[in-house]
Amino acid sequence: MQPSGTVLVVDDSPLICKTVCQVFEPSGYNVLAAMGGKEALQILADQGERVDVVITDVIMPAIDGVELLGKIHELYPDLPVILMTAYSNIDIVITAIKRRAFDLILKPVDATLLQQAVEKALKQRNLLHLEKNYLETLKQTVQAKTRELHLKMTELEEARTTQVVEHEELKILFHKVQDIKDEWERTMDCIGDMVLLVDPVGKIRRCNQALRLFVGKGYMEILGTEWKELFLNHSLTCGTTFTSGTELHHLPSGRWFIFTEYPFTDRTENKTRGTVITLHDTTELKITMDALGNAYKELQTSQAQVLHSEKMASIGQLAAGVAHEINNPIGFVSSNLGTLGKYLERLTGFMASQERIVEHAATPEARQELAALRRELKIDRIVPDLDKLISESLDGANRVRKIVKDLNSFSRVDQGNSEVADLVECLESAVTIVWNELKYKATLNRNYGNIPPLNCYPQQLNQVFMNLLVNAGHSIENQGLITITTWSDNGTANVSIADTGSGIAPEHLTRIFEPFFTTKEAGKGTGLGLSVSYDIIKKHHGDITVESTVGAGTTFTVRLPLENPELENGREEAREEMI
Amino acid sequence: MNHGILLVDDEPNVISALERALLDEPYTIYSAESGEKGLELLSRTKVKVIVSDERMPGMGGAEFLSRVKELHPPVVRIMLTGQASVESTMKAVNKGEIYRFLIKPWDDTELILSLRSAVEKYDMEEENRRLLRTVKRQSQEIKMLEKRFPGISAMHKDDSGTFVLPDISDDEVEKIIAECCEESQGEAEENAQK
Repeated sequence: MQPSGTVLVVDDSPLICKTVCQVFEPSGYNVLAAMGGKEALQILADQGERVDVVITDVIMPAIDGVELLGKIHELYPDLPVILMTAYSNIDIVITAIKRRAFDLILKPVDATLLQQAVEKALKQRNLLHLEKNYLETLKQTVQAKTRELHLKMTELEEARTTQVVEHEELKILFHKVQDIKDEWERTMDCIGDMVLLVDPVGKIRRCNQALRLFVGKGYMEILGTEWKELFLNHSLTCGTTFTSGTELHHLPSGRWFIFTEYPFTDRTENKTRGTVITLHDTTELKITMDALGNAYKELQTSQAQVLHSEKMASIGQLAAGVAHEINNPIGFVSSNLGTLGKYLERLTGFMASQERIVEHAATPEARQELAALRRELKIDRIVPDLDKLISESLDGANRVRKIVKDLNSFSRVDQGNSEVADLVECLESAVTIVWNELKYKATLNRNYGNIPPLNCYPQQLNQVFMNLLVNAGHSIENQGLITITTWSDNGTANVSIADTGSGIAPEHLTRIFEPFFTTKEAGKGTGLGLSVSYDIIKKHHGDITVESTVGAGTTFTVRLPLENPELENGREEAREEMI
Repeated sequence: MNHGILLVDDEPNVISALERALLDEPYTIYSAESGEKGLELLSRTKVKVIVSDERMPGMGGAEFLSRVKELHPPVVRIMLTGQASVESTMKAVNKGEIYRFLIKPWDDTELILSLRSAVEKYDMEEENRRLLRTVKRQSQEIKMLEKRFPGISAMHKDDSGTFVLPDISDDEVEKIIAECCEESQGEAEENAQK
């Protein structure tokens, strides 16, 4: 049978020990006995926990009961100790209570009391045990729970760390994306062209700095605006459309742009998500192009002029070449005609005398014969016509001579000398020469402004003015006005000769400076006057222009540079030749 | 008086036209169709004025006239050219010392007047030369007389201011002059030989 418990009896009296044994052993207790405190402590040390209760005598040699109690309490706090004493001394009682004695039994020991005390002690001890066990269990449970919690917490901690790491990575990624976005935005901002991304309905989704600066608005203000409206509000107007795009003009700043659209498609779905629009500033290009265009036009004009003067020069050379060949025959033809005139005078005089003599001396038959012959040969018509014949022929020869002379003036060889001359003097001498032709038709109006003397070929200019004046006279049919005006401006001396004549038809205006072009009837003009004039003015590095209205009149304007260094050189050369 | 005029032109029609134009002028007209022939003619005929063309095959007019100036300096030179350029004019004037420069086609009146004044110039120069020769001869004579009869050329006046002639008979004077003439001729020959 399971012992009810183990009781340690400590008493220096073996009798008492024996008695206690007798009391408890029948009840199933296991009883251990010690003869003194020292022994008791030894047994406790050996038996350990197996002792459930200690019954000790108070008065013992060496270690007494109270001291033992103290030690036991110290070493085994849960072990109940029952004190037995023969002396009911209050000090002992107090000490016993202080040292947590379970019970105090007076000697002689009443077995029942002792038994009760022991049972009580055991009960308490059991309760203590239970409590202790319970506490232990509780503690263990708490510990287990705590461990579990710890585990959970560690797990959580780990999870959190992972999360933090992931967050960190995301953050880096986000920054990278931000950087790339930023980079691209700044790249776009670096571009001088305006770049816009618009959605399918035409609202602006993105734009670069160039556009913002152009419209003078912030990014957020521009977003969501209709691009067409924005362009219209900033007075961009459409121009020509090229293959590369449409030209837009910004009137306030005078800038030009090339407008280009690019479809913006979804990479995966291949669906149009909007349009990218670029505006490339072509103002400089346009300016350069315009300048080039102008330069090209100028080149064309000057090429035409060069061609014209080349043509003139080659005509001049040709003229110089043939002049001699033509002048020789014309020389003897006109001289012979003159001589013929003189011969004729003599002949007609001689014939008149002959006739007179015949009238008196000849027979009527002979006279009749002569008269018949005279009629038959139309002598009466021939003789008076001879004068006319000769003068007309002389006129023809003269005309040929004039043509050759005019042609010769194209030739560079025949330049004469340049000198400083007064244009008004030139004009006046020209007027004097042609006055006979003009005086019946025109009133001359002189409107002379101030012109400084200039370096020129005065005789050649004379010829020009004469040509212009004669032309002015020819254009006036009945009575008209010729106005000569002179003035100087911007380094040029200007002379205009205006008439109130019939004017020049527009289709003729471009041709009047061509050699041999004339609208005058045959014999009245050689068609060289104006082209000679043109050539002379070009030689002076000047300019001759014409304005004309049919029915109202014509104005020729000659412009000559006041400074003409090339002519100076020409003069030097001429001087050298003279020397 | 005989006025010799030489016309030089490679074109016969020009020459005949000129001849006709000068029909009423008192000239003896010679003609040559080239500069070479003109020079040849000048070597044996005396002319006062030459009218020459500028452009001719062979010797040109300018060259011809400059040769004439060299060989027959008194002859007055006129150029008649169809080439109316300042350049050739100046060349001819400088090289050949041309008296007149006429341009083809010419004006007959201008030609006649030019020739008249050219002949006049020749005659005047000729007269000038003749007078110069006379003056030279006379001063030579005076020199001779002075050599032989010192003081003979000096003039003496009496108290009333009239010239006093030396007391020499006319025969003597004649004799002296004849001697002088011989001597001066001898001197002239010596000079020519030199």
